[in-house]
Amino acid sequence: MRSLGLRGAVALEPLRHGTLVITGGSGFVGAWLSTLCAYLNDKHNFGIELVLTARRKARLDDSAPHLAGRRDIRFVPADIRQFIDVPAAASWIIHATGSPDNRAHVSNPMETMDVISAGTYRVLRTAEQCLNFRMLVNLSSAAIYGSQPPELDALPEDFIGRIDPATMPSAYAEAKRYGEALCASARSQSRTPVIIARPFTFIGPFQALDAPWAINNFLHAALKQQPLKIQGDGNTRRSFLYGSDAAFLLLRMLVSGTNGSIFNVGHPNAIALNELAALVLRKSGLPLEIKTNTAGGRAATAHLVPDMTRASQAFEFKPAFSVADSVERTLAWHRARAKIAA
Amino acid sequence: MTADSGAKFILMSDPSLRDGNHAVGHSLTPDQIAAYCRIAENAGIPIVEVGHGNGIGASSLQLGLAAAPDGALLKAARDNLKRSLLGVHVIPGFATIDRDLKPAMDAGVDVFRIASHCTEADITDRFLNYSRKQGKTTYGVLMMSHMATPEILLEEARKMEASGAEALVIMDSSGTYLPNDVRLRIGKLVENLSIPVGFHGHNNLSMAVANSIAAVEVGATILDASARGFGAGAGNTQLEALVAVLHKLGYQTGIDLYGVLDLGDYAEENLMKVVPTVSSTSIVSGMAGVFSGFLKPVRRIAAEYKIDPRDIFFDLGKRGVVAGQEDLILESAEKLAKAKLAKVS
Amino acid sequence: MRSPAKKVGTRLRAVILGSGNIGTDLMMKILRSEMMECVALVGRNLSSPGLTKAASLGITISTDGIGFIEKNPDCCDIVFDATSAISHLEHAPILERLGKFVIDLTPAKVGPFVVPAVDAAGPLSGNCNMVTCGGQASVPIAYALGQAHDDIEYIEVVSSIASRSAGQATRRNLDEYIHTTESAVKLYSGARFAKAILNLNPAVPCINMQTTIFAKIAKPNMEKFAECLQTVVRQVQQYVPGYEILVGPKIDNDRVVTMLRVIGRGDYLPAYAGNLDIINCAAIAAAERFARQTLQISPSFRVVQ
Repeated sequence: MRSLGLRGAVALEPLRHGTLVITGGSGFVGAWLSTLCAYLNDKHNFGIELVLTARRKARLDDSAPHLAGRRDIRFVPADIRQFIDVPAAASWIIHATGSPDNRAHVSNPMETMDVISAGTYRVLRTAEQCLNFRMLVNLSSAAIYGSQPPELDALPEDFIGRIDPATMPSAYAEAKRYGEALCASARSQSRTPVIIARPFTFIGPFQALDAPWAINNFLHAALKQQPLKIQGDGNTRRSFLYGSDAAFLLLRMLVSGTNGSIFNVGHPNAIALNELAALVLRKSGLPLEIKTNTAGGRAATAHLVPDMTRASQAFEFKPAFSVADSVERTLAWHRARAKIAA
Repeated sequence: MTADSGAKFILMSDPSLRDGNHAVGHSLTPDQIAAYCRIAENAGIPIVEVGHGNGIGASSLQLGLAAAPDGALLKAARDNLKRSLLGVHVIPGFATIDRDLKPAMDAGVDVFRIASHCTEADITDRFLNYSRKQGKTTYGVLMMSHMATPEILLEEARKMEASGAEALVIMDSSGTYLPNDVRLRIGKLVENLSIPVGFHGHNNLSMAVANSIAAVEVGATILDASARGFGAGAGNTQLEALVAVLHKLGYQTGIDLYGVLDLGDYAEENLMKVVPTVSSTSIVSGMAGVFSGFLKPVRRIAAEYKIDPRDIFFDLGKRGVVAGQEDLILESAEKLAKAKLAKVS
Repeated sequence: MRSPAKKVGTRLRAVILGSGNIGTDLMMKILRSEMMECVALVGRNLSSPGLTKAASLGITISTDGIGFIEKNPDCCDIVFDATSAISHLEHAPILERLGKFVIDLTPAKVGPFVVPAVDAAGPLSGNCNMVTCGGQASVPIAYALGQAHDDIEYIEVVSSIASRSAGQATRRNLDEYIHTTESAVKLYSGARFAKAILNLNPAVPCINMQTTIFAKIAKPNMEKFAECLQTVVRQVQQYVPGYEILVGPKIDNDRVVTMLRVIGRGDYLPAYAGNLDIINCAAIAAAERFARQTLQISPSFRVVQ
C-alpha cells in the first residue's frame, strides 16, 4: 500500500466509520477502491462499511477473490438504472459505473449512453435520500476532451474539448459530458455535493487484458510470449496510473475535494508507445520481437496525457508507482494468476 | 497525389488461390496451390490468400464444395511459402472459431482477414479479438462496400478497429465503383482510422486497376490483386498489371516484375478454365451491384429455366442480395420463369 | 408493482425471464393462450420497451432476475428463459431445485432439444431447450428426410434472416447458433454430417426468414420424402401459421433441395422476424403441451382461481 505514503491513512481519516457506496463495484476501479478500504479497515481500524453495486458479482469474485466473504463489504446486484437500495447512512458515493471498453461503445452505443445517462441520474437522485450525505465523486472520462490537440503536451481540466455530437463514435463521450452537466445540475438544484473525476489510462492487477488497448496488448503478448505489436508509428504518448494510486487519489478527492471541483485522474509522466513496448519487453525478461504496424492514416499519433497540476496542488498528489513499477507488478500478478489457474 | 507518395510501400495481398476459386467452382487442388505458391514465393508476393472462395469453413452445397478440406489446401500452401505470408479469408456465419479458425492457426496461417457484409461488422468482434489475442496478423474486411453509405462504412470500420483489427480492407465485391467512389470512401477511412486501409477491386466495369490507384492516391497502403485477375466473372484487379503501374508511378511493392509476370502466365495456363473477361453479364452484375460470385450459378440456373441471366441479375440487384444468398437465384429464376409463362399464355 | 390481471379458468402460470424482443413477444403470445397466463416479466431495465409494455398491460414486472422466482417460489409453474446462455446456466439449477418446468430459449443446452412438430409423442418435463430459430425451421425437414431415408450422407441448412431481426446476442453468438443447429439436424435426421450457415441480410425492406435445406443422399426416395414432408409441415403449421414450403422438394444438381419461408405473426416483433417468431411459437407449443399434460394427469394440480 505504497500509494498511501506516510501520511496517507491520516489524510483519509474522514472515512472512518463511514458508509461508502461504490457503483460499478465489480470493475477495475471498484476492485482497487475496495482493496484500499479493506486495507484501511484491517490495518488502521477504519471501520468503513462498503456497499458495492454492479450487475454481476461473479466478475469481482473472479478478478479480486481476496475481497470475497468480507463482512465489511456488502454486494448489491443491480442495474445502476434501478439502483434504489442505498443505505440511508451512506455519506460517500463513488459513481464508477460504465464500461470504458470502446468495443462496447461502438457495438452497443444506445445502451452505453443509457447506462451512463440514466445511471448517473439514478445515483444523483439516490444521494438525495441519504441522511448525512458528504460527497459524490462522479467518474467521468478523459474522452470528454475529444482528441488531444498536437500543440498540447497535456490536457488541463479547463480545456474545453471539441466533439462532434452527431456521430456514433461520440456516444460514450457525449454521455459522459451529459453526466457532468447532470452533476452540475444536481449540485445547483438539490445541493448535492459532487466532484467530477476524469480518469485517463490506468494499469494494474484486476484489469482484464482482452480490451484492445496498447498496454493490454503488450502485456498480453508478453505473457503469451508473442511479438509485441505497436499500432501507428509508436510516437503516441500515454501515461499510466497504477490502480492503487488511482484509488488513493479518488478517496482523497472524496474526503478533501472542494464541492464542484473537477480533477484529472492519471499519471503526469507520459511515455511513447514504442518506449512502453520496450519497457514491457525488458520487464518480461523474454527475447520477444517488437513489430510496428504503421498506419497509412493521418491519425497515427493520438496522444492522451493529463495535466495533473490541479490534483498535485490540491492533495499533494504524487503517484507512488512509475510506469516501470506498474508494468513489473502487473506482469507478476498475471503470471501468478496463470500459475494458480494451471 | 500526395507529395510523399514517391517512395511509398504498398503491401500487396494476392487472393488468387481464394477468390480465383469462385471462377473454377472451388476446384483448386493442393497440387495446384503448391505449385502456384512456389512461384509466388519467388516473385516476392508478400501475402498469399488460400482457401474456398468464401473463406475457411465455407465449403458447402450452397456455395460449392472445395476440392479438398481446408487443412489440405492450407498445408499445400504452408509447405511452399517461406518469406511470403499465408492468409485466409474468414466469414463468421460460415466459419466458426472452434471448427475452422483454430485449425487454421494450427496449420500455420499468418494473416487472418475477418470479413462481413459492409453493415454487419459486429459479427466479426469475437473473431477479430480471438485472432488478435493469438498474436496473428488480423485484418477486418468489409465486403460489398458499395451497399453502405461512406458514413456507415466508416462506423462499421470503427467497430472492427475497436475489436482489434490491425488493418481495414474494403471490397468492391461487385465491381461497381468508379475512381471517385473509391477516393471518397478510402479517403474517409484513412482520415478517421488509425490503422492501415486497403482496397480490393473487381473488374466488372474494367476499372479495377484505376480504382486501386485511386485508393493509394488517397492513402490506402494495402491492395488486393489476383494473377491474371483470377476471380469470378470479370475477375479481380489484375496483379501483374497493377504491380507494373505501381512501379511506374514510383511506388514500391517488393515484388519482382518478371516473377509476377511468370505468376500470371502460370495462373492462366494451369489454374483457369477461362481467362476472366469483361462479359456482358459481368457488366450487368457490376451495374446491378450484385456480387460477381453469383455469375456461374446464375448462368447455370438461367439456362435451366430458359430465361435471360441478365434479368436474374437485375432482379437480384433489386432484392439487395448478399454473398451467401445464392439460394435466392433459384427463387428469382422460378419467379421470372412463371412471369414469362404468364406472358406467353 | 401491479398484480396480474387474474383470469378465470384452469391455467398454468408462467414467468418470463428476459424482457428483450423475445421475452416480450412471448408475453404477447401467452396472453392469447387458453392454457397459460403470464404472471410476470422479469428484465433488467425498468424503462426498457419490454417492461414498459408489460406494465401497460398490467402484468407484474421486476428487475430482480432469478431472485424474483427465488423470493416467490410459488408464483409460477412454468419459466421461460429468454436471457442468455451464461445467465441460464446460473438459473437452471435454481429452477430445478424449485421444481419448475423450464423452457430454455438460450443456447445453453442444459436440457434436451424440443421441436414440437417432431417430438409429438413423449411427455415433457424438466428443462426443454428450444434449439435455435434456424433449428426450429429446419429440424422438421431434417426429420422428414430421416423418416424417408435410412442413410443420409449430409444435410446442410442455410438460413437467411433480416439483419434487423438479429439483436446483439445473436450477433455475438453465431458460433453457438451454428454448432447447436448442426447437432440438432444430425440428431433428428440421422445424417452422418451436417452443416449450418447463417446469413444476416441487411436488405431494406427487411426480408422474411428463408431456410434452404440441402441433402446428399445416395438414392433419394422423393415420393416418400414428399409424403413425410407434407405431414410434418402440417404439424408445424399448427403452431407456426406462417411456415410455408417455397421451393421443392426437388432434385437440383444431385442434391435434394427444400426451401421454406417463415412469416412471423407480428405479435410484438415485426412480421419479417419469422426467425424469432418460430422459436417463440415452438416454445409456446411445448409449454401448452406440458400444460395439457399436467392439467389432465393431475386434476388436483393447483390452478389459478
